[in-house]
Parts: sequence; structure tokens; C-alpha cells
Amino acid sequence: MSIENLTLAPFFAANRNPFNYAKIEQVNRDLMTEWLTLEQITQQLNLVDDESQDSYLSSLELATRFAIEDYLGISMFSTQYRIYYGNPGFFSNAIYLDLPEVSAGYNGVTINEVRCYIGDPNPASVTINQSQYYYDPTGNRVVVKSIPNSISQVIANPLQVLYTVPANFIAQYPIVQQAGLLMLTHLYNNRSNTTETKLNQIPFGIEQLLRPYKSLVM
Amino acid sequence: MGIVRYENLTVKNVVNSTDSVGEYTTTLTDWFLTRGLVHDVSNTLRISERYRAYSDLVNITLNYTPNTKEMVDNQNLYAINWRGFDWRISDVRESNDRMKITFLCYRNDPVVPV
Repeated sequence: MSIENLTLAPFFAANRNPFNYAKIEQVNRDLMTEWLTLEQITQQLNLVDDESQDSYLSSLELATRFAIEDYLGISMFSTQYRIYYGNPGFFSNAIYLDLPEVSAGYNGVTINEVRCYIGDPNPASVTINQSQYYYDPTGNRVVVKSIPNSISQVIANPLQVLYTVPANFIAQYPIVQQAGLLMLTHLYNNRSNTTETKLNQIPFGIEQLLRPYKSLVM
Repeated sequence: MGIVRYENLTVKNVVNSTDSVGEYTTTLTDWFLTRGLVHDVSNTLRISERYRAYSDLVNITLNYTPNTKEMVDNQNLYAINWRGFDWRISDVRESNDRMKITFLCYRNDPVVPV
């Protein structure tokens, strides 16, 4: 990447390091859909048809999925984020709004809306028209063709992008599911935060199973 | 360390009643399938003049769940089917962390002539 491209960094930068967002918020996450099925779980725990703990197992399954999603930085099911960006310091130019690595995925993302605070001294948040921006899947960023010249100078992060990440197909890989079952078994067997004896990790455990699927996040 | 082998088990409900001619009956119906660790404890043989009677004792360890707690609380109402035979519960031991329950189960073979 030539250094000339960084002239207007970070907003015009052609690379993504550093990212130009200021803050990430997760605003919606699937709390309902089952990732590991109760059939898989009861087989793993040797409970088979003993269904008397199913609701407890379902809550463990949810915790396991969240832990692995967060570890890998992927969304096993659709997840929505709101990202905040500072004032780029110029207007009427195209700017690139980097999306965080959690959104990198094979299907790209759906941009729900781009908002901008305009009008000092009483700024109000307005939606930027869809025709004024598009998503660049190769760079995983939103290109806003032009931002309003009345963009607020007083709001800390006047630009916001709300977007939805689709389900990631990696979630269906048997090796990732096996890592999930290992973690779930650990949570099932160890229900206290403390133990009297030292616990050891097994070789080829969760981290090794998941390592190839964990994206490098700067 | 060897592989721990869990074995297929069927927990059954036991209903004792009296039939129309006044004989005591024991009816077993399937409740749920599960898997547990099974250890042989003892096989004993008693030989009388005319008969020999085999009786077996095994330890069956299951996870502590609401269902297995129910079995502990009402040991007379449940039997465990393992290797095609029904085993009645004789004793139970709950681990103090409430994670495992060990059932001591017995079974008598039909007496056979010497």
C-alpha cells in the first residue's frame, strides 16, 4: 500500500489499519435459535433421552454459543451492530467508514442505515439517503459519497452506521460444533467458579480446534 | 488411561399391583434411555440340594439430574435395564457435589435345577 494513499488518513486511507471507527455497539443478537441441538448435547453428556434438564442445557448452549462467537469474532446467527465515527473534518467528499472485523464474512453485511448529526448548536440525527452510500464487501466498509456540509462540529461521533451481519456458515462446521460440545461439557461439569483441585486442559481442545477459524484481529 | 465406556441403559417404571385372581404382578414400562458407567460388583451363586440360584450386583453411575433424583427418592418405583436384564435398585449414593449418583442394583436369575 503506497503511503500516498494515507494523505487523508484515516478517512481516505486505502488500508484498514488503523480502523477509523470510534466505538462499536452490539444492538441485537439472536438469543433464541439453537446452535447445538439438544440431541447433540444429550448424546455428548450421555443423558440421551433424559430430558429433565433440557431447559438448563439450552441455557448452557446459549452461553457456549456466545463464548465461541466472541472468541472467533463471527456471528453464528444474524447480529446487528451500531458503529460510531468521529467527524472526518471535511464534507462533500466521499469517505470510507470501516466496519469492524466482527462483520467480515462470506455473505457480506446488510447496511440498515447510515445516520449523521447535523445542525449546530442543536444537532439532530438524520438518516442519510441510501443513494448516498454503498457497501464495499472487498474492503468491508461503507463508502459514503458525500456527507452533509452541516455535519455537527460538537457531537463526538456524528456518523453512525447500523448494519446486520448474516449467519456465518462456519458455525455449521463439525469441528467448530465439536469445540462447542467440549466447552458445554466443561460448563456442565464445572458449575462453580472455584475448584479444589487443579484442572488441566486436554490436548487438541477448544483452542486448537478453533484456531484455524479465528480471524486475526488487529 | 483407558477409554471410559458408557453403556446404554433404559430406566423403567415399576408398577406393582394385584391381578383379577389376586396374584401380585410387577409391570415394567420404559421411562427414558440414558447412558451410564457400569461396574460389576459381584456375582454369587447359592447351591441348594436341588437348585442353584445366581444373583448379581452392579454399580451404575448416572449424572445427577431431576430424573435421577426422582429415582433416588423413590427407589422402589424404578428399575434399570442393562444388557437385556432388568436391575432393581438396592442402594444409592449421591456424590456431595450433586453431579453423580451411583445406584447399587441387583438381579436374581431364575433358579435352575442342579
